[in-house]
Amino acid sequence: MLLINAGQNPIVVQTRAGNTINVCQCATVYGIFQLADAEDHAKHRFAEPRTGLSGYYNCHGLVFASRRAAIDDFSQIARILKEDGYEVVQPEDLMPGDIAIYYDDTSGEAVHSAFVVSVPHPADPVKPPISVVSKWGNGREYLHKINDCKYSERSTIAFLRIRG
Amino acid sequence: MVQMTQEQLVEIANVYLGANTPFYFFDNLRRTAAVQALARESSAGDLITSANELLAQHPPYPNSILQAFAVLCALSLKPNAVSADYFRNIDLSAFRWGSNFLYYASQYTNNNVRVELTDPTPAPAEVHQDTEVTVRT
Repeated sequence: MLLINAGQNPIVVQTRAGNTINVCQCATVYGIFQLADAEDHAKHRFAEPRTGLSGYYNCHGLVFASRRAAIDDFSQIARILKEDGYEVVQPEDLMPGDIAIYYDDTSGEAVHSAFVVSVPHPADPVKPPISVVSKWGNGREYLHKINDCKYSERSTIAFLRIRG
Repeated sequence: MVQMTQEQLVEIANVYLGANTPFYFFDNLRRTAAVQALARESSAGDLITSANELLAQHPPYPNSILQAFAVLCALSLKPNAVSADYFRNIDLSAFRWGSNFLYYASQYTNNNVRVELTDPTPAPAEVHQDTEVTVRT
């Protein structure tokens, strides 16, 4: 049920090192949240929704757990990045498939993550914005420009890749 | 009991809808016009009474739980011994992110972390046409 503690680890998710990641699966929200969802559409009208509402997974669950569960403990994100072998990518070296993590400027916590799906070609004089796919909390997945979301305002973005 | 309008409820529902982590939920809830209004217009005692009533409902209704979290968040904007003591003694472990929420509420209350809203009705986000992002390396 909404906001009721559903307990931890309904399924097992592990890092490459074989350590279990704390995950959860929550109820999908409706009612008043559908009005809130409509607000998102209105505020971010250039963000394209890819899915319906789902509480099964969040942004980190999309990026690190294949949409099977939500990861909402930021210490787990740091562990995944380390044990899976992620390395920082400079913006000029960015490629589709890399991940973007939005770190809150106040707490340093990873408040959002996304898959990079489109980057400007180095020779393109227009330089369109970087596009990403991300899950907005308990809401929908969106295809959106990297700064066109509710998480970019007070955060700093890092790009990472597993090199092998 | 404190009353919230539908508009206020949608505002706080939007925060939960977009929250990937408990910190995001708490920090952004604190910044909403709804929570700021609750803190401005209600005493700590009224907020505590409302929170107790909302959390005591069986079964708990989603809207009531949302309102309870908003009320508790507003209480964290009133740093005093009563608030701090309340946060030390309340149990929110039955709710998702409940323990985390209390931790942040206590930290913000004890450290008197203020949040100033510069615009209670922020304009819709615009698409950024450039590729400049603030990158953390």
